[in-house]
Formats: sequence, structure tokens, C-alpha cells
Amino acid sequence: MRRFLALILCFLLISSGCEAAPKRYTAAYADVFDTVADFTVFGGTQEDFDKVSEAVHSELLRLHRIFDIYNEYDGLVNAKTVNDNAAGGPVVPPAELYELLESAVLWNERSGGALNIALGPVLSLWHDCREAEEPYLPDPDLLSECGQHCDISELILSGGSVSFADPEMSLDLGALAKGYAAEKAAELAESLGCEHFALSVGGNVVTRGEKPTGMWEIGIASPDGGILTTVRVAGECVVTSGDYQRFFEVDGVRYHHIIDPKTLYPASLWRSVTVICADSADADALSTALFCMDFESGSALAEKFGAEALWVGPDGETKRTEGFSDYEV
Amino acid sequence: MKKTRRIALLGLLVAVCFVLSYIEFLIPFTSLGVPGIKIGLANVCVMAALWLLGPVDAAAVNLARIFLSWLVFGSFTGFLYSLAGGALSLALMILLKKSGRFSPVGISAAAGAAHNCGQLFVAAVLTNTAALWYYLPVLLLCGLAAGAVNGIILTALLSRLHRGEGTDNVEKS
Amino acid sequence: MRSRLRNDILLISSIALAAALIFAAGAIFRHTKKGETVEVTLGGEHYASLPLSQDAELDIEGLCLLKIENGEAYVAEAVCRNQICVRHRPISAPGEVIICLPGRVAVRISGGPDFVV
Repeated sequence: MRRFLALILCFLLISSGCEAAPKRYTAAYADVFDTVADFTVFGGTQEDFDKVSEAVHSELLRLHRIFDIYNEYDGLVNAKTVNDNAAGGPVVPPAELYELLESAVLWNERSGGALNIALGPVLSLWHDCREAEEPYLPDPDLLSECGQHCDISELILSGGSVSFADPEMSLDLGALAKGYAAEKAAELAESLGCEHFALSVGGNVVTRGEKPTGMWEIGIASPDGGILTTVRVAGECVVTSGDYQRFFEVDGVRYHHIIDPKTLYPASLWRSVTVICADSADADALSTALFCMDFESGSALAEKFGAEALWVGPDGETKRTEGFSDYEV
Repeated sequence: MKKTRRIALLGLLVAVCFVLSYIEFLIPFTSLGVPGIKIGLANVCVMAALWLLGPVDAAAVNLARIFLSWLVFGSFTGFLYSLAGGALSLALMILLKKSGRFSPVGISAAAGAAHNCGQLFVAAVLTNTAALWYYLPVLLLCGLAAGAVNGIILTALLSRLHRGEGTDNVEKS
Repeated sequence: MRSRLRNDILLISSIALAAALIFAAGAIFRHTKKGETVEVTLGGEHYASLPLSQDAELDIEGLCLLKIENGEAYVAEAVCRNQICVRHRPISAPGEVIICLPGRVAVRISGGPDFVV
């Protein structure tokens, strides 16, 4: 009888396959990159997750401090240190900052100037206007004066040190930092044994592996609210730059946060640009660059980097690279 | 019971079992309006083996039925469903019968419900769909009803067999 | 014999009661809001997903024909014998499922996406 019951038990085990669905764990961090980061993992134990989540969180915090242009931190050479001191002579930043600056120079060339991290003087002017209690428009003369000091060729990178040839120049890494940080944090999570996870840092979504039920689903927000479309990815990154993300209004006109380096005013070609590609830093750079580029040159640039893109125009009309719809649900 | 008798009876039960499976295969019961429900007449044979011979023989008949069905008209998934349902219902039948507190009809009804539970569980695993449980109430009730019908048939069968002095009757036929 | 009958009735009614409780729980927790996406899996693997908002037809490997109409999904045709999935009422709420067991096809309504960017 006992043997028989054992037999039955065996059959039950075989027929059930013994597989429980991997568990889902999530964490959210509200103190990085002035936004919210979400971390979702499938599989493993709560203990595993807590360990990885803490590592990811502290990595994001570390990178946030390195790329911060508003605050100084004890014993850390960060973007603010560079902005404050690089005009006076070479500053040696952490390797991550140097690497990001190198890639920023590359992206400036690739995008024909559409992505420019040396736009600091102009961006800080717009930043003050936006953050003021009564938002106002920047003085046009002051704006064009600031625009004189946004030439990225005045940024000198050599052997790990940074200096400014133009003492008035300053860097703003907002267009790249989140995507870069998300990529680095994802690499860290991977090295700690996570296989199926997604990390979203303020709209820069990095995915690895899949959910037990299939691919990750990323909704692309419509500029006027709601979801425009949904894409499915497994391993790719998705980023959207949109005029609805950060903005202020003066006399009923909306001024958003993505400034066109050519006009020094909010870019008006598109309402949003979404990029899907393998690397989150590339995706972030591309989405900002494409936002300030016309469709032809933008899609050529995307194609060059194996990226797919979705553009939403001023009247809500959409354009896609050829492969984008393959991702759509 | 002599060994030869036991073997002969076992073979007979498997054969009848198989024929009943085939008959059910020919007559789908979806016309009852509730999908996925079968009476599971073949289970009468498994129960007969359990009552006349014992748990090990019942398991043998059950396994033989499941394997035969797989070989002849089944797919591998169908085999897995049958195996899970069959194993769960047989285990429950053995336990309930051993307790001596239930009649064949009660045991069979519970076994029918257990059978459907087992199948649903495998379906949930195979299709990776945990949400299938909302189908469970319907399956439980239908399993109960089908099991009760089988139990009534079994009761009639057992009383006839016993009237004809046990298994001798089976041997003659 | 008497007590056996009583036990039988007890056994059967307790199973029936369990069924009723599960049904009641399902009715209480059933979402009244509509899902957004129709997920189709084949043998547990993702096969396709379609927006519920858009009328569509999907032939799933010749096993069954999925139709989406007026925000509801249903299986219009299936090659399997028992036609369980075809008889299932149309689904639209997140979590609702139609299963075609012989083909190992599952049609599930999912809620919103994992992230919105």
C-alpha cells in the first residue's frame, strides 16, 4: 500500500511538471535623477531580490551624484565640479563621467549637432524660467548671448581629464545621464545573476530576458494622454522624449524641456519620439537627438545604430522606421 | 483468488475499459451544454477492479487504459491530462474506500470531482495560465454528477456480480 | 448503510459548497473594467498579442480562429473535436481566459502594459 501511494505520488509529480511560475518582485526608488526608478525582477527568492535591488539602487544613486550639475558631494568630483572648475584647468572626473562625455561628443557629431550637452548656459536659463514660482520666458538677448557659449568643440577631453576652452561654457547631461545610468545598473543586476528583469529610470526602460508570460510590454504614451501604442520587447531598451514630460506655460503657450540647439527654443518638430534599441545610453541619446531632427535625417541616424523609432507630429500624426511596427502589439 | 483468475479478470476489465473509452470518444458530451465534460464511463472498470481485486490492480487497469488511449487516439497532452486526473481520482477513491464510511456512489462522485481538478491543474501548467481556476466550480460540479452516475452503474454491477457468486460469473461470460 | 448515505451526502455537498465558494469568490473579484490586450499563448509560449480595441481575426496555427469584435475576444472556429473554446462566451475583462486544451492554446486578456514611457 505504501509503495502504491509512492507510485501515485510520482505520477502526480511527473504530471504536474513540478514547475511553479517564477515570482515577481518590484521596488521603486524616488531619489534618483529627479524622477522615479522602477525595478522589476522575475525569479529567485525575496532575499536574492533584496540584495540585487539594494545594489541597483546604490549604483543609481552613485551615478546620479556623479552626473549631478546642481549639487556637490563630499569627496566626489562630479559634473558640478567639472562645470565650476574645468575652465581653470584640467579636472579629472570619475571614469563614468569621462566615458559619458566622450560618448556625448560622438553623439554630437553623429546627430549633426542635434544633441549637445554643452547647451548648459541655455538650459540653465530655461530651467530657471520653468522652476520660477511665476514661470516666465527668457530674455531673447540673454538667450542668444548664452547661445554663444554652447560650442561643444570648446570641451577638451584628453587622457581622462576635462577642461573648458570657453570659460562661460557648462555641461548639462540631462539628455544622456538617465539612459547611461539605467544601462550600467542593468549590467550590474545581470552580473549579480538576474536574468529576467526590467529597470525603468524616468521613462528609460531597460529589459533583460522575458516575463514568464512572455515579452515585456511597454506602453507608449500619447502626448495628449492615454496610450498611443504598446510595444513588446525582450532585451531591448525603450525611451521616449516628449514635450509633455516637463513643461511650463506662459500665456497659454506651452514651453517644454527639450531645447533645440539651433533655435535655443523648445524643439517644435515633434511632440514625442520613441526609440527602441539594444543599449539604453544609445536609446536615450537617440531619442533626444531625433526630437530635434527632421524625419529623413533622423531615421537615417536611427538606422545606422540599428534602432527603431516612432515619431508623433504636432497634429498627432505618426511616423515609424520600417522595423518599428514589428515591435508593436 | 487464484492467480489465473485474477489475470483473466484484469485483462477483461482493461478490455471493457478500453471499449468504453472508445465509445466515449465517439460520443462527445459537449451537447450537454457544458464544455469539457465527459461521464468517464471507463472509470467504472477501474472502480470495479478496486472493489473486486484491490488498489494495485485498480492502478494497473487505470494505467493500462491511459496508455492504450494515448497510443490509439490520444495526443501526448491528452495523456498528461488523463494521467493527472486518473492518478488523483484513484488516490482519492482508495483513501475513501479504505475509510469504509462511504458508498460507491459517494466515492465515485468525489473521484469525478478530483479527476477534473487534476486535469485542470495540468491544463493550468501546460498553458501557463494560472487564471484557469475560475473554471473550477463548473468542473467540480460536473465531475460530481458524472462520478455519481458511474457510482450508480458500479453499484448495479457489483450487486449483479455478487448475486452470480462473485467473479465466477465474470469468468463464464 | 444509513450512516454511509449520510456521509455520502455530506461529502458531495461539501464539494458542491467548495465549488459555490470558488464561484462566489470569482464573481466578487471579477474585474468589471475591460482589459487592453489579448494575449495568445501556444503551449505556454507567447504566440501573439492584439489590442482588444481593434476588430481583428487571427488564425492560430490552423488550430483555432480568434476573433476580436467590439472589444470582446472569442474563438470562432476550432479544429478540435470538443469545441469547448468555441462555446466559451466572449471575454473582455483582465484575467479572463479561453483555453483550447487539445491545441494547448490559451487566449488571455491582459491589463495594461508593464511600463508606460
